[in-house]
Amino acid sequence: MKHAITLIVNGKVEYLEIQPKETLLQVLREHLHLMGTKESCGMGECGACSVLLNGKVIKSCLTLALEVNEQTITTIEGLSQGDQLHPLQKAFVEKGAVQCGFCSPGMILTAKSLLDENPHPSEAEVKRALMGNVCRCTGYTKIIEAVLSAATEMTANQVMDY
Amino acid sequence: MNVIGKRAPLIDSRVKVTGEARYTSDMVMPGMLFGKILRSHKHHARIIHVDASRAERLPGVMAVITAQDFKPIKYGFGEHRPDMYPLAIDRVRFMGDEVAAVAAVDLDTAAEAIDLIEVEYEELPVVLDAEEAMQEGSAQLHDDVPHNIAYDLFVEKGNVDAAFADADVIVEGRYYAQRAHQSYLEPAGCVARWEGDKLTVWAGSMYNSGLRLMLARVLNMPLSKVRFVQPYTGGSFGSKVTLQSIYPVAAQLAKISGRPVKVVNNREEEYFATRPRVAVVLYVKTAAKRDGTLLAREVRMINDGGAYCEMAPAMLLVMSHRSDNLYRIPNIRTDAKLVYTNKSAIGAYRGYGNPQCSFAYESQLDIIAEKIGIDPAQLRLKNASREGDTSVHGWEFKSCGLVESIEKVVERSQWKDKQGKRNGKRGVGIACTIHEGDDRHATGFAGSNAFVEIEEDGRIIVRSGEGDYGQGSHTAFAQIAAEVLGVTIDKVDVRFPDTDSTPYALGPWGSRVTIGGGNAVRLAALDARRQLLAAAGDLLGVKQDTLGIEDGTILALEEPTKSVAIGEVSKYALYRKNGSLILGKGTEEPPTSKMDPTKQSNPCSAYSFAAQVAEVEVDTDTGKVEILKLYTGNDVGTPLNPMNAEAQVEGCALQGIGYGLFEEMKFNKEGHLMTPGYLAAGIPNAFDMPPIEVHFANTLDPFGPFGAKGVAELGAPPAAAAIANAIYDAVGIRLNELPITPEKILRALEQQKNEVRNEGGGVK
Repeated sequence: MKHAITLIVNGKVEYLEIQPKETLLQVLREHLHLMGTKESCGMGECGACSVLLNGKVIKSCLTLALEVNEQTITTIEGLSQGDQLHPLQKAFVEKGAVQCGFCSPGMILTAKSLLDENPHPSEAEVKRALMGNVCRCTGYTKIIEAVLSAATEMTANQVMDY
Repeated sequence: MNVIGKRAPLIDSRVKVTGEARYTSDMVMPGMLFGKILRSHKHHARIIHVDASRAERLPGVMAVITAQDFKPIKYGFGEHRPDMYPLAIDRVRFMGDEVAAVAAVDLDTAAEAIDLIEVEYEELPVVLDAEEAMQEGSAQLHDDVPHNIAYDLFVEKGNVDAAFADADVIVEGRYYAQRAHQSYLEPAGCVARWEGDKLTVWAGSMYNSGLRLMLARVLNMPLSKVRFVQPYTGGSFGSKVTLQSIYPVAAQLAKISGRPVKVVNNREEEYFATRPRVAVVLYVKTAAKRDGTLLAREVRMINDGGAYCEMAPAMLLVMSHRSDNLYRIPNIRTDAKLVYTNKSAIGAYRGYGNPQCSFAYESQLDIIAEKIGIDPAQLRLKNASREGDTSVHGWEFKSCGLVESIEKVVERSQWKDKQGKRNGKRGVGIACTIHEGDDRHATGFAGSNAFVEIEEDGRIIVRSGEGDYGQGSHTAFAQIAAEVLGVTIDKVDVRFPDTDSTPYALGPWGSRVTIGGGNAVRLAALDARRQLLAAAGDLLGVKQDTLGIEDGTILALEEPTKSVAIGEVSKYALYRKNGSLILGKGTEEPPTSKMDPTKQSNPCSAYSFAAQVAEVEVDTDTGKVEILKLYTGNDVGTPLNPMNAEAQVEGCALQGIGYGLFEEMKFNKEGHLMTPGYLAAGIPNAFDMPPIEVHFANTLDPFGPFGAKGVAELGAPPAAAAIANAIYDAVGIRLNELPITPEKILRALEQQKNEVRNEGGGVK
């Protein structure tokens, strides 16, 4: 039994027909072919599936697509503007916070959710925000450096969210 | 140097942060089906009958396979014991063992089909403990392997008994290190597709060339008809090296259905049925003289190998003797056994036996240090291997920064002020490690091939069979090629491994890719440079030995007005009459002898070393251990990319800390795995990483490219040992079993209180 839903994904209105049991993760990847959002555990323990729902980070593998009908979703693909990387993406690259990259989209979106709410986080606040995002490659050290560095740049540039 | 030794972001970081990088599970093809494997829910059983008829009839199911769909070719890993089939024929030996598989139009249909396959089992006795499995009367897993002893190695050097007789202090102990899972973020998977009689498999792996060889053998196909391609890969840490069932299963499902098939593990399958770190019981005895000279070590190790061997014998070979070479210990006796039990098989995991052995050996060094009243750091320094040494097993250290690394962490941690206080709260502990780089395990070719091509627009193309799964080998290769060819790193493209176009290489494991892959690329780049300058000489009308390259421009050093861009030269070289492509070729093989600890052998062209000091605070009420700081000194020769070398140490160190304090694959009495998820398995999060210092010794290796050695596996092995030693320094308790949980600490503190009470008082 298919349901018609509407999602605003990365600024674009998407009309979809989905099954009630489909998660937002499945819809993003399989219907909208937005592969940047990853499945790593499928049970909400690793954060690789993190996306922004109305600007706040959620785990898309634990969210039914029906639940977010008519809501605004931001995936990693929606972060850069053309060739211009978001300060978080830039900082992750420059600070060496990316190794295998599988956790990076989720990690970056979680960080964005933090910085949009708390532009001057302490290191402990960054760690708390990232607690739900597992990284196995980096040991988190350079990820935290990147987030703090992006925070500084974002405050300096007064980057406005859309 | 312009590029080498500079901090550089990894060249593929950008596509990873934008979400553009495509991993195996992101691949979509026309007509692609989804495969799922039926796994045994019994620990040990005979397969009486498999009935897949109901699954075959389910709409949307396009193929169903069982063992009958494969030739009964037993396989193992390389030259090691073959004891596996892609799908179990008549016996399952662990919960998760592969029995059948389906391919369907979507995952839900595939999952439903799996449930419709009926398997009749006859249960067999189960054995879960390795020491028990060796006993008479225990269930035997493989009919041709008595006492379940799959591998047995005895190593003896010098005269251990005489050394024990001569010793002033002898320490004996039993240690246990647990089974733990790599828990990389990207689950293992592959996509298989046939075109006529040619099979292509896309798989995020750590051994592109080798998997192709192994799959061709298992499918009984000519090698030239099998193509392996490695897309972006989300971590591995050793696991994605072996031929796991998903590859031949996907291939057969694709063949029978006539459509591409994707098979990807879910997180539970990762824990139930991939290749984690081996658990081991170690009985260790170390002997020393009163002045701190280490005389001998005797070890009996029993490795819990799970149900199949795969690469475990290779790992045990290394694990059985590697740490002996870290110090100047002249007498060694080791009995190493790999034992079958009804659990999943084990495999390579970063450190490859080091974290387990280091924990035991380095703990004993501290016990010796205390008994003779010497500073534990001094004990290490006194016995440390040094440059120019040939070790007890014949390992030759042409570069060695162990002493410098120990001195660095001692200095940075303020060791002398902090150690030995036993203040009941804080303490420091030290541990060291040695690791191979560019090693010879095989009797045949043990190296790397590379091509470096210069395109008409001046771009440098590196083609190597070694792969990148996040550790940054592609960036290292780009740096090396850029340095040799006088260009900036952004002018270099490194192709992904594809057996159709990248040459054979041994694979990016064992910390060998920097030296092995790097030297092959360096030689190929040098070859390309020679061809480039020869053509440039023709073009400019000057002698080629008077030419230099700077920032992509070739300059006649004696006639500065004559210069030309690299792209112009490669275009000229290609399109002139009798022209040809500028294509450099490089091959590297370690000039070493095959690893054989029963004899003297020097298997590697270089060895890396590290020392760590952990400063901890123990909460004696809760048993929790906080690592205040981890100081690391690492001998990696020249770090090609200091930022990435740091990143490697940091990431590896947290894996070591996780192994020491949090991580374990726990089984209940019946043998069920109770921890098949990130949280249950104890995988560290951002809060678990302590402040860390990463230092690099000032060594230059004569063989490594630009003096570089491997770095990837140095961070983990010392961590658990340094933490255990620091805990003893703080509160005077010795933990001999990993992981060191709060429960174990509280129990040990309780026992310590009782012992003090019984002895009539007097706190240490």
